[in-house]
Amino acid sequence: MLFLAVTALGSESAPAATAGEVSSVLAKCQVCHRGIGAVAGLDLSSREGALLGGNSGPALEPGESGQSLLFAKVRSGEMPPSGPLSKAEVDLVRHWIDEGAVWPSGDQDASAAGTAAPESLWWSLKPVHQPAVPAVKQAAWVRKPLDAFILAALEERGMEPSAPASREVLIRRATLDLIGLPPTPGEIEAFVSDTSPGAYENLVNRLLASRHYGERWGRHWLDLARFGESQGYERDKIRDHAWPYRDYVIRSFNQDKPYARFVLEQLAGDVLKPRTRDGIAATGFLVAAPWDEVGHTQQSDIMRARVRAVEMEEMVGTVAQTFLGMTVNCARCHDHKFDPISQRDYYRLKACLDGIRAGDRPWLTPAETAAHEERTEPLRDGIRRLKRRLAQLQDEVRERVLTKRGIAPQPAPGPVSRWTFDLNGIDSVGDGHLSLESGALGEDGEIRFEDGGIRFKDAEGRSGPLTVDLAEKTLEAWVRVSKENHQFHFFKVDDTDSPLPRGRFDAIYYHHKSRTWRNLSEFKNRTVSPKRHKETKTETPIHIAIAYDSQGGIRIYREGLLYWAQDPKGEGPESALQAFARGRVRIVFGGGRTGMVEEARLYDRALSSEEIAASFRAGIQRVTPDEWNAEASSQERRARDELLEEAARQEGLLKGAPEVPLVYAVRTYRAGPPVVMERGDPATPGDPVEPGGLLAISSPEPEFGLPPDGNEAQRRLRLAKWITDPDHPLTARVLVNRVWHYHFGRGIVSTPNDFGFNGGRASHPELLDWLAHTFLRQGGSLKQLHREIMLSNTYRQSSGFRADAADADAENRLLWRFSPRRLEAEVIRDALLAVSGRLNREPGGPGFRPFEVRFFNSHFYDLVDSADPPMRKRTIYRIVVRSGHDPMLEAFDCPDASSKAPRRSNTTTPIQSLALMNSPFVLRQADHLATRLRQEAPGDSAGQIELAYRLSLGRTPGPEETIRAVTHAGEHGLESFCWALLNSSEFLYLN
Amino acid sequence: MENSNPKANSLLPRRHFLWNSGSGLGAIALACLLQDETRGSDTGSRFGARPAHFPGPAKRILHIYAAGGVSHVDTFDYKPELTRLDGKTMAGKRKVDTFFGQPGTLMQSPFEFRRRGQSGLWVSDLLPHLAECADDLCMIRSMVAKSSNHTPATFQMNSGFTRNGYPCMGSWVTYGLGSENRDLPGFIVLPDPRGLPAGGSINWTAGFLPASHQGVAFRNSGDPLPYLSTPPTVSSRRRASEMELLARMNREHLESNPGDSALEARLQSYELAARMQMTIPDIVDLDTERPETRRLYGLDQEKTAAFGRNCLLARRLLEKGVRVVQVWIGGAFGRPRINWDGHEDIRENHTDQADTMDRPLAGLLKDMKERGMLEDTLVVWSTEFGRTPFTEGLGAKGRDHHQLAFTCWLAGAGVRKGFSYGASDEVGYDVARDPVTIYDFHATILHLLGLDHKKLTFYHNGIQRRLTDVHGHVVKGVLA
Repeated sequence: MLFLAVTALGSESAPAATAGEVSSVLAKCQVCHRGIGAVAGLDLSSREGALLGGNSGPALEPGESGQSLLFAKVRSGEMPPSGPLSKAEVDLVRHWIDEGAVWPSGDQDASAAGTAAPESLWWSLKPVHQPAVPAVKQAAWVRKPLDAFILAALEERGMEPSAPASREVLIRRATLDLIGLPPTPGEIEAFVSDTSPGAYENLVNRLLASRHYGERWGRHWLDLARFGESQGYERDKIRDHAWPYRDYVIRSFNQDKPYARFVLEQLAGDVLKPRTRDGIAATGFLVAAPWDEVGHTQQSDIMRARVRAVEMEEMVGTVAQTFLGMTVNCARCHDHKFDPISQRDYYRLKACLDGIRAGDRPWLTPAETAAHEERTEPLRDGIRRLKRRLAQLQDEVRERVLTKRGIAPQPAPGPVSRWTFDLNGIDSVGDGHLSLESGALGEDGEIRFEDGGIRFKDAEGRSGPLTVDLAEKTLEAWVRVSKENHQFHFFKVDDTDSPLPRGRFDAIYYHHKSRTWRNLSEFKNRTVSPKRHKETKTETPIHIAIAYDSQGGIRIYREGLLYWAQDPKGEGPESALQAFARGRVRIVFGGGRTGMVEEARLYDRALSSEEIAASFRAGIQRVTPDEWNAEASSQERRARDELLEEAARQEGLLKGAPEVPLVYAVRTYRAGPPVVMERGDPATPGDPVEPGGLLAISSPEPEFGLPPDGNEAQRRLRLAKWITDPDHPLTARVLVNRVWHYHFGRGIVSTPNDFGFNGGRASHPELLDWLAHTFLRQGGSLKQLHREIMLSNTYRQSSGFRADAADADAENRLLWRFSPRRLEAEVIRDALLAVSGRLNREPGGPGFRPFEVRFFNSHFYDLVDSADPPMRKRTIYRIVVRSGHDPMLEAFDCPDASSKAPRRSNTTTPIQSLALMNSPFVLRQADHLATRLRQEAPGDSAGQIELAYRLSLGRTPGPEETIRAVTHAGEHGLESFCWALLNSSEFLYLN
Repeated sequence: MENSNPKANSLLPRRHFLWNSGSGLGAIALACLLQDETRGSDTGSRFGARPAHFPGPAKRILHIYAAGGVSHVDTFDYKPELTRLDGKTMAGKRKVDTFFGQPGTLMQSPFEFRRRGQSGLWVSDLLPHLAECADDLCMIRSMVAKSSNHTPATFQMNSGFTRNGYPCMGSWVTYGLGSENRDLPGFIVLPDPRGLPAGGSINWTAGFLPASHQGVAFRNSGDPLPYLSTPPTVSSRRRASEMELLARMNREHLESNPGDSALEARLQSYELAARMQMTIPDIVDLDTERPETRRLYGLDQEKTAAFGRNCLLARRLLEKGVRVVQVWIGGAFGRPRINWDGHEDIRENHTDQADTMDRPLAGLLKDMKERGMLEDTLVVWSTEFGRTPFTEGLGAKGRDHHQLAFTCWLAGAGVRKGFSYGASDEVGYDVARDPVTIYDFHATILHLLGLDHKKLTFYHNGIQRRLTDVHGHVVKGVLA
């Protein structure tokens, strides 16, 4: 270490001697307070830095320890966070400051210090190295290199490893560990009787090749990904299309996808080339957390921004903890209290993820999209042509009706779409033909969303994608508000593919409380809220037009007169004039409340005040269906009917075309230039910041060199590449530690999501590096890593208790035996089904739903007990809703899906026992097991008992056990005995 | 020691103490949690009642949660200025960030306020029965919440955080103090019979604390707990015999695997489960209560009977030593309103809710007082936020969400009686004096239970998590 080295150079006088001693103390400070990006802005790598101080002022007053903040902090024990200094060290610091605070190595150190990074001071930030495999006395015990590391630590304390576990125990352990299901009697017998030297290795290989492996280890990953399939918060709506991520994870494990690729896909799979379905589904990782739907629709801009800030903290935290074991989320409001992570670091990482939104998106590769379009486009085109002809026919007759009334044809200034609602939702100019949904009526030349004052909640008219580009535009409509005066958007231009939480749109909107007309949009900067008198006209049509000009100005007209004008406001992408691209824009009438529209027109330019006034004066001419029918010739009527029929037929064909599959995954939005938020609050934006990695790590290079307004895909991809760089000190260490954790019940570092100060220290640091190094060398293969671990003698040890060893190491940190453990909730359920013979092994697809959904503003999930085949799939295929926990799984420590769970609790409670005793599910499995036994060992009571033991516990019963069981079954039924077996500790634990 | 700071923390010595003293089932009162392997070790640790950080006046806590946002200016926070300014626009305040609507005009309360009891605390006529208990209440009229959105605000009131997935207060308390009754869960929730609150069980989740600290919601019909009853298809003779067989199998397994206390705990968990099967049906059977008691709780009237049953049940559970009982008055959002979310018409909505809550809750307080339970039980009444002093929109009759000032109250063990702490401004918009954040509120509640909110920690993903995040001060002013 730099400081220790330098201090050896010069120490002649007394103060200098103190300086030499104090250097090791200062080193503790410099882990965080060092160089650029130092925590709290305090750089203690030089005397100048200390004198200059940080956010809390100067740290040092030479000669005055009582006046020095540095001394106050170490004396109170507040600093360093890794643990208070000893009294001797505190005295030393006092003495050193009082003696003038001569810097340990003189002036040259100030520059030298700047080049040394914190990684030289904190173990997990140091590069992974390849440690030598230690020499051990019992060299014969070492089967795999890792055994040497374990044995060396045991030998150092005069301890011995345990004897190998029996074959029966070993196969049950390995099978439950790798695939989460108990071994079958046949598998046990084959293994026990296989005397070949490769028997165990073959077993491990067979298990690794099983497709159930991904279902077991994928579940571990889903714990980290806080994977849930509902929104959480108030509404807790189900995410119907979230399951592809779960299947992606399972598939990735089964394919033994290189870990770097696995990480890359989860962070940026949607922007990798070539785009694959897996790549898109993988990004479900980023957006698997709860989402505050109501928070995003509240009216206050700042409150919404705060909701987003909380969302981003969660996302940054998940990314940093999962892949790096760093709690970067702690630095949102201030520098990290314990780790060398500054607030700036947080916002650098956040900048890489800023463009992320969540939602359903088409789950197709570009090639599949093209194929889909190729299939459907001819149909769409045909429908468009039919409707065009229908519109022409409609207008011809309509004009004849109007001419007879003495009205000249419309002088309208050329709309791109026009809906007169004479007969239906046909667009008489463009392609915006409406389909009318949920009771929206197209009678009497108007579209209405109510009937006798009763509103239809989902009534609306909705067009397919328009074939025009819209930037400048005018929305014009003759509308009637009802007495009910519900807020209502009458006429909306809508982006069909917006990733924003509330969509992207412009709309004529009636605000019922203020009774005023507005432009409504997704951003406050474009939403225009005029302060005008209340609307008084309720039962007659009102002419409303909104013009959007190229500068971003918005003008609202009522009855031909200017009602409100808003100059361009704000800056940035959210406030400019919004462009809606052809193919991605649709028209929606009716926003879920009451009201009627008599006619509407859409223009692709901003009309002038004169044009709008003229249009108002010209008014609308209603032609009722009766008038139209009376005017039309029988030929024309027939033509209309045929056209309608043919259009309906082709629309039916289109609906019959294969549906575009959807996936809940990342959707992106252009993010603004990133800034630091003071105290984490979006109300107080601070300095600009650049997308980048953690500055405490110098290799791989944390500076991405991306422009602040660069595109979001680039940022995300850069971050993903930085994390997966083979030089990254954390990525591989964190992963191998997780795998170790799941195999042995505890990681080498006991806090898998935290490799910082607050986390656990590695019990075998050299081993961790050896594993990480080996893992990288083997291309990031998890299956290879499993083999390294499971083929070792360490893993194969017996779990037998030894008092002497327990006295020395009660928690088995040194692995003197294999720690016995209770099965996890999912394994218990799956094992019950497997043993009873009722497990449905069908993989993948939408999750099964063992509940009924009740809706009362929120979604409620009432548990339903069912034995239907889908309900008998493995537990990983159960749809995980956040508010509807399964009481049995929950009792067995199945984690709350809203919270990242790098390790699970392991409790023993009577609630668990009640579930196993009385749940219909468990009783049913006991009954099925009994039936199975009778079928497979008919008429042989002892044989049935033996089979039951072998199926559930993986061993044959002793003679006494058999007699006892036979007697019990004779008296209370085989079912009752099976119940006891499935409740037994031996079934619930593995040795 | 995985749960705690990997480098040891303040809980450690206590745990060792328990560990050593827990020589058998009867040695100390046992919690529902028999064993937590993640925190103990292979040699076993048992958790029963655990010593507090310091002697606290309260041994247990009753939390009444009024869901939907109770208007402070219509219940406990008298604002005569609102009468004077009725119909006027509010001026001179910082920016109004309402949740849904446009701020309308200031609106006087449709309910009369009166001074009550010896203390002279103001309570409106909306709550005539509760008003009779005024001398036992300790109002906090300067509450401030972080969010004006129901669910995050409700999460904050329950867990300290506005997000899903953090342990709720009840979970923290049982984690800190354990349980006094081994036959019952330590944290029991009685949801409003009309429906669960939005977010359902998220509101009583143990988050990242061990599952045994999860709030257990009693159901309003059928078995209070899932799987409590032995299924009718299983005869009692069969059950007795198979339980015996199971116990023998588990004992044998324990004997052949010595040194693993989890196996012993497993054995005991079945004994406890069997006892819970007997105890709980007795507790929920309210027919044994005297008629006058049942009347006191409003069980004789349709409007109050369902909530009254929960209040009465709460008392019985507390008597049995349940550490935390949470009773909800209010369910999810939407229409018809089954909670206090009076957007449309404050008079109509709050009258409806108060008519359900007032008599049973007052009955509960009086009954607990008579039985001496207020000596060592802390009663907490809270809502997630208050409501705006102005109408929601012009000419409207409802009030919008309001997090900048609202009222909650405490009663019972260790708190001042007939007292009011803090104050909102003249119209109830901002806090005028002694603001109390949710963090402060929680810190104070823990303090009354003898728990130091800074020491009640659990390591999770890099941080020693607390109920109070990194904030919170004990509100000394409310302590008796």
